[in-house]
Amino acid sequence: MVQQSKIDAYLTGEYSETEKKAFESQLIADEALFIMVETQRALRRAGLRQEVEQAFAARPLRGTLRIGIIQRIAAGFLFFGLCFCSYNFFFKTDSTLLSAGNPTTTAIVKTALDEEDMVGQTIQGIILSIRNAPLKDNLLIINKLEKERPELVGYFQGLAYLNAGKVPEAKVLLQKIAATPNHPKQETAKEILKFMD
Amino acid sequence: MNPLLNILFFKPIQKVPTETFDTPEMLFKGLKARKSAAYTVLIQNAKAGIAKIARESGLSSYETEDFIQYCVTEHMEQILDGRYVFQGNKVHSFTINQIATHRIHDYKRLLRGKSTVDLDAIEESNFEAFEADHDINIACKKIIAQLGIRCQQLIKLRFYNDFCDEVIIESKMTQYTDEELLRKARSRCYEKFLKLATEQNVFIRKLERLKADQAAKNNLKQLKELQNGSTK
Repeated sequence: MVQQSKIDAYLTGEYSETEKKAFESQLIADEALFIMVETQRALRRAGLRQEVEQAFAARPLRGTLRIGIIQRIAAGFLFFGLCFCSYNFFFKTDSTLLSAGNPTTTAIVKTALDEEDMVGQTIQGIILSIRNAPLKDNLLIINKLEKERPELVGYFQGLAYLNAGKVPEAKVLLQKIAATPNHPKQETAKEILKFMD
Repeated sequence: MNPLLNILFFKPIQKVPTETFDTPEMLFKGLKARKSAAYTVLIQNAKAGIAKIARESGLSSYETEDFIQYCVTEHMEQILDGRYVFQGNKVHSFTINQIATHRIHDYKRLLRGKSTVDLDAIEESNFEAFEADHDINIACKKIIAQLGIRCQQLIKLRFYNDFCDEVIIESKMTQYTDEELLRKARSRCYEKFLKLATEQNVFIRKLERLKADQAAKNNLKQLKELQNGSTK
């Protein structure tokens, strides 16, 4: 019993340097005591190793939340809901997107674009772009029409400017179209200008 | 919250390590108390540094993992027996710079045999002691496996996990409800364990080596004393 308390003191570092040295000399002289100390040290090492292995296998849990299966399903629904909303926001026409500019100009652009919905695919793409993308991108896309339908470039540029709330620039472009005889968008441009005045 | 909602939306609380150890001192205290969360933090902090040393020495990924565990265990042992003295530095620095750096050659030598050893590293290492500890670990595992389940449990609770008798009784970890009975039963098991251990050569080998080291030290001491005497 006394011996065990000495071993415990030695293995837990409770001894001072002098006591430790004295105990170590005793260990070398006493084979039975030596085996007791060594086995206990080895057993503790094995225990520690087991604990370390368990900790090694565990993922760091600091700051993480463990959630139940229903919470996971709810989180899944939330995620898909967010994806759906994002899709609608970025890729589908939505009147709320047009509220970025002045409400009146927004309404004008919306009406003008709605009329264009029946036109070909390229123009459909431009309409979609004007409704959703920033002005800089829109102007780049519209410039691609230069080869196929050069007469429509100015008209769509005007709409893009109007959608971005840049009324003076839009006005110049639309006035130019309104003044061009036989322009396919002459009448529409005139109507828009009426609203703008 | 409504208990029904609680059941539906929340898992029963699990015992997961959520403690944080923001300062090295807190981590050291956690390790000293053998808290699993502290182990996790130490492993996370030391993992990359030890893995780098192991990779540079050409260990495989499996061996690297084992070496990380070995280094953390060794550090834990030094913390518990007082060989590691906390001086305010980051705890994992010691695991990497003192343990991993100094033990990598011994570890590699143990795995691959003596031929692969870097000759420059031999001076720094104490391979015989490392090998003897390794052999003793294996021997103890074999001995404990020879005991009955009840004895294994009693010995492991006391020497593996370092639980005191009071805790073992209070937590009803064994069939014993009285400390005295528990102590007696464990004592009988430990005697069996020691009897089997005495039959193993590994302990004697280590003891003989220690005796030889001690004799060498004494000789050196005497030699120095003689030299000092002659110069005077």
